[in-house]
Parts: sequence; C-alpha cells; structure tokens
Amino acid sequence: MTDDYVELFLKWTADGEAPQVQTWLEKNGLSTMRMKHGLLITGSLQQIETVFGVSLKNKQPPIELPIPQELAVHVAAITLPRPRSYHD
Amino acid sequence: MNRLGLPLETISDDPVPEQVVGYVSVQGTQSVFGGKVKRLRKTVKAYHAQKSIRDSVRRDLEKSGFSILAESALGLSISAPGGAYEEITGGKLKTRELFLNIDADYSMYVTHVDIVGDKQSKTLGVGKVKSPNLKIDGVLIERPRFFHPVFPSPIPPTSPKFHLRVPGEVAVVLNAVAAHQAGNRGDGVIVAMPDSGQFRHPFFTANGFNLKPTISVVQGANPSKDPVGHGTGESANIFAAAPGAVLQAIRASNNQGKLVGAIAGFLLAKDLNPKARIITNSWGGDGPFPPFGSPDEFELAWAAEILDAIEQGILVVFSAGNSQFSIEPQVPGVLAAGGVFLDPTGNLRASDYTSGYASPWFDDVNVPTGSGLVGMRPRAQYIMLPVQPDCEIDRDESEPDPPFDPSSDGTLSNDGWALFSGTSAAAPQLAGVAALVLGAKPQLSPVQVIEALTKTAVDVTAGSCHPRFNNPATVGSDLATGAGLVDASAAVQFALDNF
Repeated sequence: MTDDYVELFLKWTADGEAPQVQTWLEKNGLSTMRMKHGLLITGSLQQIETVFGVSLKNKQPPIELPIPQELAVHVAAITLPRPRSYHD
Repeated sequence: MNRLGLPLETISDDPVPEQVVGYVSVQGTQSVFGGKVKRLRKTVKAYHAQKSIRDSVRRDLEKSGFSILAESALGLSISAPGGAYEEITGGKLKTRELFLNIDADYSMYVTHVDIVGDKQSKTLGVGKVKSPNLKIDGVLIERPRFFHPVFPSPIPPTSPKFHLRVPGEVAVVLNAVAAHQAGNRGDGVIVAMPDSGQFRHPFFTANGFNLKPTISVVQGANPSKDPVGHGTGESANIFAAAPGAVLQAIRASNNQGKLVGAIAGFLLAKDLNPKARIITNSWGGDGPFPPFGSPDEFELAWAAEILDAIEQGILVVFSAGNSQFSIEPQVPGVLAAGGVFLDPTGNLRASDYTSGYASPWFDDVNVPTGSGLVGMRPRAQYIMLPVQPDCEIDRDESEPDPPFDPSSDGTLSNDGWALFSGTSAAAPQLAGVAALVLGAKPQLSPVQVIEALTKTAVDVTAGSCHPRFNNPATVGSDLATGAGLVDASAAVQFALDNF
C-alpha cells in the first residue's frame, strides 16, 4: 500500500457535490476527503487503475482520468495532479 | 516509586494472552532453581539434561497441549494457552504491570505474566511443576524484551564547513533570544507540519521540546520513522525560534520517503482537534516560469483549500521554493518563506538558492513574503540538523556532489546529523517566530501575525535570489528576500505594542 499511494482530485459538475459519488468510491475501496471545492480521492495505484480502468505507470502527471459511467452525471473531472516534493 | 513518582508495579486489567510463550528447564545434575546461592556456575555443562530425559519431557508437554518451539541441551522453548501452564504447575497465571524504560528517555507500563500460588516461586514469571514425575526443575514465562535501537547523539557534531547549529545559533541570528528571556517562548502554540515523518531523535528530548505523537497519512507507513530525514531535521528550526511550541508532525510520505500524501496531510492538519494555529509546509510543486496560462482547476481547488485554512484563522506558511515555481506560496494570505544567508563575517545577503518572483497569477502577491536562514548554492549545506541515522539525507549530504561540490558536509552517513537548509528550513523558522508572536498575543489573526513579522524584518540589500528568477535584494521590500530576515524579538514587541 505505501509504495504506490496516490492522490486524485475530483471536480464536481455545476450541480455541486453528490454524496453517492463518495459512497461509490468508498465501496470500491478508495478513501475520500472533502475539499472546499472538490474531493480528494486516495488509494493504492493498483486500486486506482482498477477502479478507473487505466494504466498510470510511466505517465507524466497531470493526467485526466476517465470518469466511470456511474459517476458521470455528478463529476466533471478526475485528475492525477503534479507531484509535490521537499524544498531542502 | 520511579523519578516520575509512579509506582514501579501496578495491578493489571489485561487478560492473559491466548498463547503464552515460555521455557522449561529440564533436570540435569545441577539446577539454577531452588538453590540458596543465586550464581551461575563457571560452566553450564552441569545443567545439561540427558537427551532421553529431554525427549520424555517433550512428549509429556505435547500431551498437555504445549507446542515445542525450540530445544537446547538445557531445556525447551514452549507455547500454549495459559491453562496448560496452570495444569503442569498447579498455580494460576496472572498479569502484572511493570514500569520499564523502553527507549532512551521513554518509559511505560508493560504487561507481564506471572505464575502465582502457594508453592510457586516469588520470582516474576517463574513456576514449579506440581508432579515430581515431570523432570522439569523450572517453568519460565517469557518477559517482554525490547529492541535496542542505536540512538544518535543529541549534540550536533562539528564540521569544517561554515554552518549554524540548532537551537542556539539559529535562535541568535533570528534574534529570538531576547524574546525567550522575556518569557515569550511560544508556549503551547500548536504547529502542524505535514512532511516526511518525525524520527524520535534525542536532540528533541534533550532540549525538552514538546512533540505530539506523529500522525501518518499513508496506511502502513510507520509514524515514528523518517526514511528521508527531511521532516525531522527541518522541524528543529521551529523550536530554535519557539522552544515552547507544540509540534504536531504529520507523516505524508510512503515507506520510501516519497511525498505522496501532501495534500491529504494538509487537510488533516487543518482538521486537528485541538486546532493548529500554524501549518508549516516545506514542500511544493514545480511548473514552467513564466507559466503558460492560468492555474488549472486542480491548482485552484488546492489553493482554495489553503485559503480556507487561513480564513479559519490558521497561519499557513509555505516555503518559497529552491528555484521551483509553484502555486502554494502564491496563495494570498500565505506567509511565503524565502532565504537570507549570514556569512562568516556577519554580513547578510539574499540566498541564491531560493525562489523569488512577482506572482503572475494573483494580484499584489510577491514570493517570498519574508525570509529565514538559508544556505547558498550549490547545496545550501548550512544548518546542522538532526535526522534519522542512515536516512537519505544523512547519507547524501555526507557525500561529495561532483562537479558542483567536491566536499561533503563533514558528518558521517549514519550519525543522525546532516548539514542542509533550503526554504524548507526558512518555513519552520518563520512558523517558530509566528508561534512566539501568537504565544504573546493569542488572539491575533494570520494577517496581523504576518504584519508583525514583515514590519520588523531586517532589510537585506545584497545578493540575488536563484538565477532562474534573478531578482536582486534592494533597499525595502524586494523579490529576493521579501521584507528581509525576520527579527523574532522585534516581531513580538511589535505585536505587543500595536495590537
């Protein structure tokens, strides 16, 4: 789990947030944290790839992920953002 | 009673474990049990049991429900439910709590299992068998044992490279000592720091600094480890400025130390109970400068999250970057930490290691807002900081980096100390100074704290920031050091006099 932990950003459609999206993601083994404007989705790389049906290996973020059919009404975009690094 | 006034032993509410691991000493010609003289013989051959007797004991124990884990010439290592021990001894198994020193300067009550009863030994965890036909001269229940990790020295090593030490020298250069002497130490001000982790380095214990147990974002990542050393080392800068502050470290790295959970770490820091007054962040992203357009939706949503923390009254500090261009330090209301270098002759100049620019995304925002102490290129090896021994930074900084730097930091690769800095050091220094201000005037808003820091900073007029931006330090506020090097005592006095 720790080797491939991934953070994704979910953007809502104009209708705003929908609790059923969070429920669906969590049912699929992902964790969520509500943001002021959107939702932070976290999980292992393998879980993310399985749930969203993509391969993220060797791809350079930012990456737009396909939106699952079940979420399409409520979700405008799901993005793997650029990585953050230490400033030492 | 121990030095904390706690009893050395108390009764225990813990149940006896389902499986109890123990040891039986099989009878030899001599025994360590029961004799009046508690001393080992020079050779243990007299304690050896005959193989035939050991085999017989093994069979008897297995019949009584014991598993045999290992065997030696003296006895057998065994495991069984507590009832099996009670059956062969006729005693009762009971738990007791003993106060033990677990690690350097860390003690706690540890549950032990004892065999008690009229005919049982008074020694903790030692029992006698009830049947003389069982050729066992003692039953022992294993006492808890602890790993003995090698702890580094709490005192920084010397290095031939010019550098500053924490907490004392950094406190002096930030002019924090007068504030400390006046009783302003940032007592109880909670500073949250999402970073690579927090190793329990003796430096923090020896100095009496207050650290809450680390929270880990990534499931399975050990909260007491820091494989990079970044969070542990940079956090020492907070205490140099504010020795009374309370650090809530949040480990946002995975087992390799990669910063994979930074945003989740920030969200956790916002949501602490009791609330953090300050969140200090020594990390960020990077992108083209000048940027191709406006920030994307992710960046904006992330910026909104930072702004929300500020609107909740939390002072948010972000490092300006070491040549990076990123949205975090540009968010309006963030205290963006740049760098000033104090050279061996006592002169101040802008660090050429740090980012400095006018925000192309937000009106009237310059990065940095103000500065802490940061070294110069190529490596900014400037402040001797405590790290987890043999972590990535401990190893890397102790090696030369040809062709840029033919010398190392002068420390060992596994001594738990390394010379480094960057705006990663400046951010927690500014957070520490802000904690001093909030300790003196707890009701201040983030805007007021930033005003106290910037209005009293020492103007720096020499040098330039990183060549990527190449902005010079000038008289007054500039894009190299912002308002200049923060002056801790002056900032506290400003807050006391003006708010």
